[in-house]
Amino acid sequence: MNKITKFVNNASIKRFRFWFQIVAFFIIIYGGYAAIEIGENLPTFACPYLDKPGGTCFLMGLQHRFTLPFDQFISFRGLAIITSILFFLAGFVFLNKAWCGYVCPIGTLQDWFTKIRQKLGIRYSNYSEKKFKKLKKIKYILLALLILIPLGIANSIPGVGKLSHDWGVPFCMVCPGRTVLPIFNGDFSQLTIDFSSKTKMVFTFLGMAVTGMFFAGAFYKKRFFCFFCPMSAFQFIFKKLGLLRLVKDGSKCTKCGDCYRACDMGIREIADDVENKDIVKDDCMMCFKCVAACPEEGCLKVNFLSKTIYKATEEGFYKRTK
Amino acid sequence: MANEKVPFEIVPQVLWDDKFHIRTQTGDNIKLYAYSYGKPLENAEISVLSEQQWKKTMTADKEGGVEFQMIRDYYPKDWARFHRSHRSFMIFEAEYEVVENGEYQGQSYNRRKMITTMPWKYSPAQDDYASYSAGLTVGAVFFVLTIGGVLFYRERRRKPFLELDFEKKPKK
Repeated sequence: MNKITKFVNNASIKRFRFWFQIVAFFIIIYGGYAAIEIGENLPTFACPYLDKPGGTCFLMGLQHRFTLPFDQFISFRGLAIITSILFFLAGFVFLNKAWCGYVCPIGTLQDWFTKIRQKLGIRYSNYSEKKFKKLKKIKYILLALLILIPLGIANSIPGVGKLSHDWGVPFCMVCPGRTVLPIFNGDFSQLTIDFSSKTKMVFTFLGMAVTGMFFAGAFYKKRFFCFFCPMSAFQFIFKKLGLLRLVKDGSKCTKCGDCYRACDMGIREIADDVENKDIVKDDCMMCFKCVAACPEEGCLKVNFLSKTIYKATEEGFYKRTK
Repeated sequence: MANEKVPFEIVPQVLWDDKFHIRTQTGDNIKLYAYSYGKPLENAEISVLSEQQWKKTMTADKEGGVEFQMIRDYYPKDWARFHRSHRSFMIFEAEYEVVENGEYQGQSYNRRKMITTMPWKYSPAQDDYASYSAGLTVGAVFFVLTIGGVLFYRERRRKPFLELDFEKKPKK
């Protein structure tokens, strides 16, 4: 048992994650061809615009379900919202926010772009703390909008009336998952501007603008889009239910800052916070690069059902940095 | 799938097996099959009739099938009235004649003609209202603007070379 623990703690999480992401990417993008269907409420961007995905993103269903008149909230349609959240949670609890770091195909793509950027020798940027705090609010605004806009379709807004159905699935319209992922199926049909109505035109314009920024951003900022991802915000609400946890023993932390430098998202608290045990922040994608970069024995740990499955060790640190 | 208990039926190609969010669009190639008690009917006459009374009649092949391209039948007066979700309707009609002697309601007959219909609906093609060139232009412009913006920002933050001369009085 000790040998296995030692092997795991000394292992390269980077390599493990690289292969895990490849497998997850193929399951999400091409799973349907192999009759794989993980679920319809996945806590990751398993885009329904794909030809035969291995599952479906929770956010699309959520937007559809919130296209609901207020008087029907206490009905079977209202119940559908609750059941979909329960199914979402059933998948979410196992990996917690590691869905972002290990499964999300848009995240994986950005990691691949980071590798290309490194090969090209382009330096990356980090946001200042002030900007970081401002930008992280965007995902909550997007989360609120993707619920409020569908409600505005089914319910009359004073002075405006009901929104047209062209406002449907508003987040999907601006999500790079819709435009970029179908390309892996050879489907380029989402890379268009839809002129059928003004609303569609604006949404598809925004979608293509975000796509352009997504490709450009991936070359100067690690996980560029993840700062704005409403899925990350939604997951954060339920993070305490996650069986997979990232915990920190602040008494062992020397604030060397290695974990912060390793963090693709640039979360400062991972190094600065020595008070809280649970240090998963809303931007964290649980990639565990911080654990691999920590030289302090047992300072950072990955627990599943309170059992440590991976932890920072001095030996592992030196092995990985050799 | 053809039903073995149905004397005469039209079975369209099963599009839903290909994709969940399938819908027939203008320009799509549609295959229709005519079956009698589950067996394909060669030489059955299959017609398609649009809302604007456009009609095409085809003869079924050995497998009882015909193929045709969905025509564009939706021309709103101006672009503001165009709806991407508009549904145009079509009627599929199949005819087949069987030569046989028999009796029906006390009257003898020497042939039997069978007709069956099936309604169908379809949407405008995406090419009618979506533009790749506009989409890719917007994407490319924002790609270049983002890259340019980042380079400009980085350039601005770079401190200019400053040679310090301690004997020189600083400029005010």
